[in-house]
Amino acid sequence: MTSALFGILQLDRGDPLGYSNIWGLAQAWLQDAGGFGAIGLVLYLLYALSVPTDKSQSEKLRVPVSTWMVWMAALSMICYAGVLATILMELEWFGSHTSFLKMPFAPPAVPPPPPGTPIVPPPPALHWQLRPVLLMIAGLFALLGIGEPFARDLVKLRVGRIWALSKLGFKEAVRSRLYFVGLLILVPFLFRNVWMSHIRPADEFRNLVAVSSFAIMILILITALLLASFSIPNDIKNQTIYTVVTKPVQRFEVVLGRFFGYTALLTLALAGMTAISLLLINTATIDPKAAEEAAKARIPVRGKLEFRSRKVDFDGTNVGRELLYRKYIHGHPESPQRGIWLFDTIPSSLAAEPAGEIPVEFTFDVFKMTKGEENRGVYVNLRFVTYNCPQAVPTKEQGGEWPWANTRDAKDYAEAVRLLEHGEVLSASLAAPAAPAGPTTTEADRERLRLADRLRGLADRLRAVGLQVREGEGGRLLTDPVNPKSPRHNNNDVYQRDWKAASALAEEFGFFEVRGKEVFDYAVLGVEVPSGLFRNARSGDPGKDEQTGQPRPRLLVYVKCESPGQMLGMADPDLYILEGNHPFSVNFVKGMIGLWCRLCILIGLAVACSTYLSGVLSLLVALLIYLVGYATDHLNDLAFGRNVGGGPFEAISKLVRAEQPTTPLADTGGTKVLLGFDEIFAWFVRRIQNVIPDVESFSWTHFVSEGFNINTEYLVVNLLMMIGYLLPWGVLAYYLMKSREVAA
Amino acid sequence: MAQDVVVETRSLTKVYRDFWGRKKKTALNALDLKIHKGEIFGLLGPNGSGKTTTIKLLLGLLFPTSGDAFVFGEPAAKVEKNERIGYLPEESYLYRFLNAEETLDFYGRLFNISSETRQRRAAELIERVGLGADKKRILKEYSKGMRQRIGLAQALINDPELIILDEPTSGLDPLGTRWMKDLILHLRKEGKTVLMCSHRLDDVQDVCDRIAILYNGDLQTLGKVSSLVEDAVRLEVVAKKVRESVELRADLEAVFRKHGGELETVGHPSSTLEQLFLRVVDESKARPGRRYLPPAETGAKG
Repeated sequence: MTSALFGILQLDRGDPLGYSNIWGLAQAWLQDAGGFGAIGLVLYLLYALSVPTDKSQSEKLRVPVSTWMVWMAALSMICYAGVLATILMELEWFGSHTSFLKMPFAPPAVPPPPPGTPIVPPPPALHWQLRPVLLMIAGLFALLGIGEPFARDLVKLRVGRIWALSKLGFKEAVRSRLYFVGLLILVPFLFRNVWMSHIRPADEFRNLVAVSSFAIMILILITALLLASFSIPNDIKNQTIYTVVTKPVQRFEVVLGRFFGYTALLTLALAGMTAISLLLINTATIDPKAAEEAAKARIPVRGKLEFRSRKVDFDGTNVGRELLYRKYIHGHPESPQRGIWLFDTIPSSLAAEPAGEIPVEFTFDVFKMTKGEENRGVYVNLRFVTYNCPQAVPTKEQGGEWPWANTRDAKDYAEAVRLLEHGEVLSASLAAPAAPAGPTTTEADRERLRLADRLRGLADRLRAVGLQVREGEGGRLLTDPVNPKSPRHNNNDVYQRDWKAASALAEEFGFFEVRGKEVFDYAVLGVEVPSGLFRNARSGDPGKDEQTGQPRPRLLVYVKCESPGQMLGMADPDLYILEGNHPFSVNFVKGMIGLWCRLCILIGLAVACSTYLSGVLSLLVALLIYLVGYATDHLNDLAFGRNVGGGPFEAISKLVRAEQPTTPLADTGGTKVLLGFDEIFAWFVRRIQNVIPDVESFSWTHFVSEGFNINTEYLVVNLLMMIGYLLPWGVLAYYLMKSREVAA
Repeated sequence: MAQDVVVETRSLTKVYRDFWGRKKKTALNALDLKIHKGEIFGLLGPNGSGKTTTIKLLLGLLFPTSGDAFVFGEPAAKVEKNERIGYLPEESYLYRFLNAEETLDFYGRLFNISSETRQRRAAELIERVGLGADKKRILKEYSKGMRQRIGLAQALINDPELIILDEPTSGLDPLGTRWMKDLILHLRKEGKTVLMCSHRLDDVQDVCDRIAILYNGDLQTLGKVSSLVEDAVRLEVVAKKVRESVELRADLEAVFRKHGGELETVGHPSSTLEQLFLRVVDESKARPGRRYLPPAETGAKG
């Protein structure tokens, strides 16, 4: 049994995005960036058309219009017209939802969660319905059109010049002694007693990590914002840009030079601050147990949680908590309710050792309906089964235990356990030779022979894990008596034997159960599972579910609450198989990569804004966009009209009438107008959402402080998202800088 | 466009507008100009006449409202033309946290000049502008004259064919002014084309082959300096070893009357203040320790 102080990771925004989301992200990017690209392309072409046809050659160079751009704009507009047509056809008087190809117009709408629950946006996925495909193609054409001059000028960029301009920004910051900012990271550690004095010993490490990460973030991001917002405006104000753009320098090289210069400088600063923080964290005096448990990076294997019971539509119980993150099952020995984690893939490392002890950790929310026993938790059964050992929903007569779907396997398992407890693997009666094969062979004889064969296979497995199996008289197979159902963790030889037997059994039958595990509210606890179970789960092909057509999970973990009158709350990340641990320091550095992505986003935003706005305005706009990125949940509420009190117009109306926010509006013409305005407002908010970076998805501090490994996959997706976000801003900066009269 | 035309403007017009697009001022109005290879061309005019606007339009710092500008036959908006141009802005707007060597290295990199050439050229130019002893000092510590010198060095880092100088002698002392004028003349000898604008008419007169005078955005005069300043109805005679007297004046009147003319003035010519200053400095260099003594100390009377 393991017990941990940490490991409570709340993923209320869903799982971080991984490689499987890349195509969905690409489609969403083409739709969003392409939408802005289409607006830009249309405005650009309208401006070019407004200039007289006999315009000067300089003007033609400055605002070039090619046949390619016109074609791309036309194709894009045709696709958008198609999108509009699908929207119109869905209106009441057409009522059609499929195209002539029988292709649905749009993916099915995700039903909104109940009020008060956080919106967990569905992970990006590739949609092949007509509307998303048309939007994607329209966006692609628009980007190809608006990006043509940009791409043509990209060829003219020279690394040497960008390097020179980057070095200039770097040197400027260094000569202004900006590196002293980096030393400010020491300040939180100097006053550690102030903010650590009231913290539980168990939380010391978590707080130390969180505070140092926060200090680095604040120092780095504020510095970045100040540097990047004022660089180009200062160049223009001081007229130093005159001597730069009168050289053979592409204007965009100035933008790139500033971006890369400050990014390089602040990357160094970030690396320095990370090193100092790591040193101070690793040498800090911390509660030894807290440090031992948290100064690592767990590699969890997560599954998907489902709730099942006798009622088909059972989806967990809502106990009325404000945050509906967890759902609950009733506790009772006769309760058929289960929280079931489904694991589709099992890493090979879990099955590497013959009789390894694989930790499975969990954190449950205990919601007490009765006081229960003082200082005692609730009791939980954890049943681990592979796809080879399916379980069936119990009938009322069967009570609260889920039986094995395959009764023969259940009998085999029971017999094997009984024999092992008596020091046998194969009994004399089972080992007796079979009667000669023929029509006289009875069904019972055939069954006995089958079981004997299976138990001989089990004997091989027992030998493989290192248990002695001796041959006795009459073909018996003997071993030392073991207790494979509940090995007690006392680290002696008996336990070792019991465990090996449990592993061999789990490998043979795909079943392992821990009964009566005492759990406490929000305490991270764990059990060990024999690696034989994972060997069984990894073997063979689970096939597909006959009803859903989806691949069957390889491993399922059934959680049952045994304590009457108590409820057990759980969410997806609350139970995981611990594949291993990485060093804490590496994880801390990985967390900083997330911060580095945010740093790049902020510098990119500020530099892009500064190509058109003054320094102060650039700072304010970049800061606003960035900070709104932290309030995406609220923005979601605004965008989908889910906030209490309605949109701004409804809220103003209620304020004026001194009505409660929850009071329903009267059904009048004026109300309809108000709601219409709110709809328009929500539409604008939805468009603005595309400009706001999802800053939270780059934040890994909770992973680091809770001791969970940040997968490289998450960081790669982070990098791609960062590039995807910055690219449209880069194109905007290119056009703004190119069209700017720097001497005006 | 003729082969030797380096700069050409065709009805070049620039109108400054406010945020709402309303017209604020016509800075330049339909300027037609051609500058030929190897000549030193001066743009003259009072403040706000459009000189600097013309230069900024040629460099692509501003965009024309109408008309067009060409440099080496290429539209002014084309960045590639800058490969052959050197530009010294009026105030030497350079990065003050760099020293002279770093400044030239930075601008050299912008031309993609190889490291070796960049270093060699930077060293030559630093010596040429007389900043050898101060090359490691950051520009913030430089005097205005020194900044103007390093500004000129950066304008020459790419060995340009066209050098555009905006008020090149602004802020320079008479020695610096002389040095700058000599350098401009030297550039002409090297076959470079120079376009300069200045308020200091004597500077322009000393070095320019042709000038254009702008007023309120309009071109007022254009031509060779010698032709423009020549007074065809007057004649100047300079003689040595004679002193002014009534007899001399009477004799000269008789001679000029005989040739159908009329004597206006007879007197001793005076040198310019610049010439006096340069002579005194030259003498001071030749005789270290020389100093001016007031008449009372020498015992001289009157």
